[in-house]
Amino acid sequence: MHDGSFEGLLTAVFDSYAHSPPPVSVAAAEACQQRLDCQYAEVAADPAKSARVIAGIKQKMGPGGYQKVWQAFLFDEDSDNNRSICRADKSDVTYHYIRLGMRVGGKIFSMLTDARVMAMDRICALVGREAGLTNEFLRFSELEGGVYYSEIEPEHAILPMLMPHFVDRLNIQPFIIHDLRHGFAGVYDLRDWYLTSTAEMTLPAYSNEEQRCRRMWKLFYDTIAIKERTNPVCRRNHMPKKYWKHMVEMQPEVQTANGKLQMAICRSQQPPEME
Amino acid sequence: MDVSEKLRILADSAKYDVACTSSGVTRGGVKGMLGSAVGGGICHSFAADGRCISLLKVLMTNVCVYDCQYCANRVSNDVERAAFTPDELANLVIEFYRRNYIEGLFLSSGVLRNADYAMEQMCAAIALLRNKYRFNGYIHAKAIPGCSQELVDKLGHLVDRMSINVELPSEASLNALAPNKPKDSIFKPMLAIKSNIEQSKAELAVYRHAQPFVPGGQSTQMIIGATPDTDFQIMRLADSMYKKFRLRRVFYSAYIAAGGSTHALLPQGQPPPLLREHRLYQTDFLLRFYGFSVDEILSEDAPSLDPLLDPKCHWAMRHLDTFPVEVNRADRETLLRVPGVGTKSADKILTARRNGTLRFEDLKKLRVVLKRAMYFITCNGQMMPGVKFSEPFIYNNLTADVKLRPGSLPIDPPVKQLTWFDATNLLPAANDFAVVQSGQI
Repeated sequence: MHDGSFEGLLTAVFDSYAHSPPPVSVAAAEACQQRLDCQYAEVAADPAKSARVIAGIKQKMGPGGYQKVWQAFLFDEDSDNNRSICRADKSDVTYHYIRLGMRVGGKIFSMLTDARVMAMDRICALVGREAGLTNEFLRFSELEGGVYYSEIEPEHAILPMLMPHFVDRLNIQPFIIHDLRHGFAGVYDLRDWYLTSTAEMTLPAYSNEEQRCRRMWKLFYDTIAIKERTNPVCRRNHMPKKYWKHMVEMQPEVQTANGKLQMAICRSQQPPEME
Repeated sequence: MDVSEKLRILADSAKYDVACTSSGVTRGGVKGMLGSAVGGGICHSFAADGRCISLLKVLMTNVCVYDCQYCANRVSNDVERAAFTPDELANLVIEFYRRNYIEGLFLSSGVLRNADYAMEQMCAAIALLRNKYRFNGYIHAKAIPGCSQELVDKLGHLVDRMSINVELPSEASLNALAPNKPKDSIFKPMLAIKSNIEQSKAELAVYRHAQPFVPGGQSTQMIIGATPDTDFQIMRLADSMYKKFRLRRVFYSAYIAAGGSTHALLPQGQPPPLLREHRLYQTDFLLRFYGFSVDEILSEDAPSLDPLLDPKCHWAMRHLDTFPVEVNRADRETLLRVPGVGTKSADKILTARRNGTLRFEDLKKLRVVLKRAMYFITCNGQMMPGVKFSEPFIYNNLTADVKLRPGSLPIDPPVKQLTWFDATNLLPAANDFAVVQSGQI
C-alpha cells in the first residue's frame, strides 16, 4: 500500500523487488479494501527510490515507457469511464506493467495481446483521448484585467497534459485552466506555469469584450452549418455531449432583465456578473 | 454595417467550401507571437451538419463579378453583399484564437473587380494579421483562378496552405457553368504553386531560415452531382492532380442547389448526393493510403461506384481469387487490401505478430474490427468459425445491414433470403408420399 502519490506508487514498485515472491498487487491505501487472507505492507514515498525507478524505466523501456506510466497516473478511478468501461486499479495496472517492462524491455510495446499491456494501453487511451478532445473543445473567457479563464470538468486529471500545449501556443496572454472536478487549476503568468489548488480562488468579472465575442462566435457557429446536410448523430460522435456544458456555441441565448440577448454560460465559482 | 452582420453574411457565403483542415504543418509557438500549428490539425467544434470547424472560414468579400452557375455568390444571384476590412478580419481571428475557438483562418474571396485585385485584398489582410498582429497560427488561403504569378508568390509566403478549386471535373462542364473560368486559369496557378513549393523545399534544405512557401501543401475541391460527370472521370482527374501537382488533398462536395440557379444542366430539387460523396472519399483514401490505382476500382465500362458496397469490398468481391489472406504471414500491402482492415489495424497486426501466432481472439483483443474482415482472412490457416468462403455468402452478409436500414437504398438486383416456403420445388409433390411409403427413398 502506498500513499496515493506518483512517488509513492513508484516507491512501492521499487520495494516490491525486495520481496520474494513479489507482492501480488500494489494499491493506494485510501482505495484499498483489506482482506483477511492477505498480508499488507505500508510504503512511505521516497523520492530517491522513485527516481531510480524512473531511471530504470527509461533505460529499459525507453522514454515511451515512462510517458505511459506518467499518463496512466492521471487516470481517475472515480471517473465514469472506470465505472462503466474499464474497472481498473491504476496502481495495480502500473505495477504489473513496470515489472513486465523491466523484464522484457522495449519488446513490451509489441506485446499488444498481453493482458497486462492491454490494461495499461486501455487506461492510457482513455486519458489520452480525453486530453485530446479537451484540447479541442476547451474555451477561454477574458476576465477584467486581461487574464483568460477556462473551466473544464474532465473525468481524468489531464491538466498537466494540457498546459504545455497552451503555454506554447498562447504565450502572450496570462491564463488559468480550472479543473472543477478535481479542484485544481493550471496557471500561466507569462513566465512559468504551475498547478495550484483552487479551494480559495476569487476571480474578477468577465471583461466587456467577452459578451460580444461569444455572440459573434455563436453567430458564426450557427451560420456555418449547411441545413441540407444536418446530421446530429455525426456531430455527437465527434463532439460528445459531456463537453457541451462549457462550450460557448452550444449554449442557448437568453433574455436578460434589461432586454438584451446574452449567451448563457455557467461559471461555478461565482455568479456571472456580465453586462 | 457592423462586424457581426458582416460575419454572418461572409460565413454564410463561405460555408459551401468543404476544406477546413488545419493539418500538414507542425510549428511550435514563438515567444511574443500568438499561435502554433499541430501537424495532425485540431478540430475545435462540430457544426450541426457534423462537419468539423477548425478554421474561421469566411470570405474577404462575397461581391463577385463572375457568374458561375453552381455558386450562391454569382453576380446574377440576389444576395446580401458585404466585405471585411483587413483590420476587422484580423481582430476577429485574434479574439477567437485567444479563446481557443479556432485553429486559424481560412480565407477565400469573391472576385471583386478582377482576380488580381481580389488577391491583393486577401494578401493585405493576411499580411496585416501576420506582421502587425504577430499571428503564428494556421492560415489557409484560396488562390483566385486567373490571378498573376507574383501574387501567388506573395500570398504563398504568408500562408500554410493554399488551394485553388477545380469545382467541376471536366472542361465541358466548366465551359457550360463557369464561363469566366477557363481551364487554364485554374491549372496554371496550381502548377505555379507546385513549382514554388518544390523550389522552397530545395532552398530550405540549404538555408534553414529560408522562408517556407505553403508548407502545408495545396488542395482543391470538386463539386459532385452538379454535372453529369461520372465517378470514373472524377477519380481519374483527382488521381492525375495528386500526381501532377502533388496535391495534399482533393475534397469532394455534394452539390447543394443553394444559388437558386435554373440552368438546364444543374439538377433541380434533389437532395445532395451524400452517399456518392462518401464513396468518392473512400476511393480517394484507397488511392492515397492503400496502394490502389483508379483503374483497379473504376473503368470506362463500370464508371460508377457501388452504393451497396464500399469500394474496397467491391474490389475484393471481384478478386476473390486473392483471398483469403493469412493474417500471420501477409505483408502490409496485402493486409491493407483486406476489406475492414485500415492502416492502424494493419500496423497493429504487424507489431503483435512478432510475439507469436495470432488467433481470432487475439485480433479482437487488438480491436481489429472483424465485421467485414472476417470473410477475407484466415488465422493459422483457419477461417473464422461459421464463415463460408463463397461469393453469395459473403455478398449477402456484407450487404445485409445496408438492406435492413430503414429508408435505405433500393435493392438492385433484389437478393432474397432463401426460405423453406418460397422454394416451391422443395415442397413434396403428390407422388413423393407414394415414393416414401413404398420405401424407394
